[in-house]
Amino acid sequence: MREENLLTSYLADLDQRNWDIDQYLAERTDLPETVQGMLRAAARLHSAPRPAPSGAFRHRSSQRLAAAMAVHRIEASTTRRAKLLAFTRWSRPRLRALALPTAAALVLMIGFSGAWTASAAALPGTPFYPAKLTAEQVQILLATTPEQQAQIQLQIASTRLSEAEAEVSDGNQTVVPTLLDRYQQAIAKAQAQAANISASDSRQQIMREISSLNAADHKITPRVTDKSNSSARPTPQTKVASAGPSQVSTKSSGLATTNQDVVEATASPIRVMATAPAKNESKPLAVATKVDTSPASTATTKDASTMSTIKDPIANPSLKVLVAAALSGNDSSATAAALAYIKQIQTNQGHAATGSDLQTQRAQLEHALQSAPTATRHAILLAIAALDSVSKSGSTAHAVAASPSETSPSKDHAVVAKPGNHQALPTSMDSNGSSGAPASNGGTSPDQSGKPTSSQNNNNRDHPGGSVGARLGRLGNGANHRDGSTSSSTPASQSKAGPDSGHGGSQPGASGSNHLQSGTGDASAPAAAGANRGGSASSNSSSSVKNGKHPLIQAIRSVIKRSNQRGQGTPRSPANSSSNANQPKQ
Amino acid sequence: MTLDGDAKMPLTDEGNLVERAVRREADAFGQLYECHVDRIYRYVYYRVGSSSEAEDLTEQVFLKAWEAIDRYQHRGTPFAAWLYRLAHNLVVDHYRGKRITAPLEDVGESEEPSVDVSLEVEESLEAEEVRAALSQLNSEHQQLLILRFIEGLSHAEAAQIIGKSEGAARVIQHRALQALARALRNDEEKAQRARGKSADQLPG
Repeated sequence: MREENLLTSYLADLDQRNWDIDQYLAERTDLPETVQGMLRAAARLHSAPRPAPSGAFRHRSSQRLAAAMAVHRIEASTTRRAKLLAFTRWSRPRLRALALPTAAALVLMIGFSGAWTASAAALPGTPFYPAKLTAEQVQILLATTPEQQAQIQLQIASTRLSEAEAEVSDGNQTVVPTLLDRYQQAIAKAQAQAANISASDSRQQIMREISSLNAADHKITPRVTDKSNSSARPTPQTKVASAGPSQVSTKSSGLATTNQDVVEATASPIRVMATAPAKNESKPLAVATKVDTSPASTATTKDASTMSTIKDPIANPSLKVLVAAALSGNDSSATAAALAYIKQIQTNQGHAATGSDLQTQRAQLEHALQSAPTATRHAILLAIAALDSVSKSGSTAHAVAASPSETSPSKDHAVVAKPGNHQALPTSMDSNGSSGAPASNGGTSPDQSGKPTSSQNNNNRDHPGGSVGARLGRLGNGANHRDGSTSSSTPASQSKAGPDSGHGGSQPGASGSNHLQSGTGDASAPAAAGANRGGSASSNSSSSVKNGKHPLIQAIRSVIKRSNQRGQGTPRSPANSSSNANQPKQ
Repeated sequence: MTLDGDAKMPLTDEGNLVERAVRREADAFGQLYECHVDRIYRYVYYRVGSSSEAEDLTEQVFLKAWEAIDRYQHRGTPFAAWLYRLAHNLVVDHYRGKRITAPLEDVGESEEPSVDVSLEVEESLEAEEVRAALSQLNSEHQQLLILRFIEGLSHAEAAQIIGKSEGAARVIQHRALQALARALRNDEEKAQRARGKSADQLPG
């Protein structure tokens, strides 16, 4: 008998003796030593402990599974529809009919002159766009060396990025995920080709170009930021001139209106934050801005809770897709889903969405945030930020009209705004003040955070619907509160959270609520931190805006970067890595 | 133990459950989860050796299973066999991804033995020793040994999961046990040497 069959029969014998290996081997002294060793090994495996998953895991995991099951069915159909939507505009037969001759003409042009600039500016949805894509393919075919191939792929990647940028600033986000996917594909191909280049010089050159494309600040940000500033700046002032009884409500109205403008202009939720520095430029003092936003959000919540539901929020397919994608841990699809969802809520903003509707969605997002893998949390944070900006701008009119007690919520504002504090703050860096602390921890996931202090909890409870600042502060790890009192011991806050430490230092007695207020006032800052999470340098998102880095672009770029860096582990921004350093492994 | 599930459910019932789960009935899939989560966890645990990673991967197995359940072909393959296969693929991906992506210090961190909370200290040590020995084997050998001796599956069942004939599974089992015996012996010798060394260092 072959030895494996002999072994099998020994094992069967052993099984009959209930795996009493010692007794069996005592009986079978004839067995060679190697066989004895194998039988002992088998017996050891047989009696090896049987670990079981923890109860907490079962609970968590079955919940997540249930969520995934609930959304998966819809995801399949909606993804298909979203893809269709993304391409509808240029796949219409009429455009196709146009596209073919155009492509043919272009192929000829490339063939004879190498010029393909005619369609260079074409965007998805325009007749020339398919021609542009064809032209790119032709270029690839014509390239003979890996170097040329890599160069062309780089060019394609860069084109996709510019297109994405153009679409973002046109407020046209449906195609952005597709474009970014194609960008990533091109980058991947460029990298693959670069690996084939024999000359190390040119290979390094290509790699440098890839990384500079990934950085790509110079290409994307200035235009978008200009746009944001130009649309944002005038609005608050006109509102200040025309609106409400108190300074506080006036300003909140201004900010919220600004949000709406911005949302309409670019569909970017994070632009809320972008407006803050823009406003501040016309104001000497920083903390005033922080105070401004707080009443708006407080009033928003109250207002929202009194509104009636029109639509069933669970029927929101984009949200389901987002939650599914986030729970699946697929970070690029989660981001794409988040962008689609944001687009959708902003489009519906005017008519369908009500406060309670949005609140329910928000609660669902928060729930998802708690169970989502770290890799996809930023997408949910992005969506939450968008939701907040939408709900705020949607209901601020009510907020302004609401009773003074609602719009001037607490004495803390007065305290925060008192001159002593202002003097403690670097006025020119006011935007840093509003976002520095949250940015330093915005990426920290809830599971991984330390326990929030009791004062935080109370504070957050006092402002149930709170702003993103308060919410995400809590969802994150609440370290922004800590920053106020111990900022000198927190690396990120040392450099960035000057204003917060100013609060804590100058008003030790009221530091708890002040921090909440500052957190609340920072409506958008933590959201931006969340959006930037894991991506390009985001230790200070407001200053990024100030420096001309648009947060949404950063968020998008961070996604791109992350997918490119998948080969090198999870990238973290400096601030995030410092706050993540001590996280327990999940 | 057989593939019919830990809950001693008649196979027909599971067939019914599986059919309903294929039709995307969440209830049915939830029941399947309850039946199989322990065994998948055990399997993954002995492949990766850390309870947190095992939990993570176990969850992914079921998420994948739900996503892909349309593609589950009944054809006499027990549902558990399909799950084991998914688990195996995820474990392989996990190691592949870790090798490529993880910075060195992270790898070192996760290679540390982690004490499983569901086990007593002694059991946990034994589990870790067994896993350490298993980890020196190739993926196929690990897979077969865990399925055969920890999960208690028959040759036929294990062969089905690893996609080999029963005869091939026997051959693999033979080689795998040889390799495991060697690994256990080596580990033991190493431990003895370490003990000897520390004894030498004692004064007197």
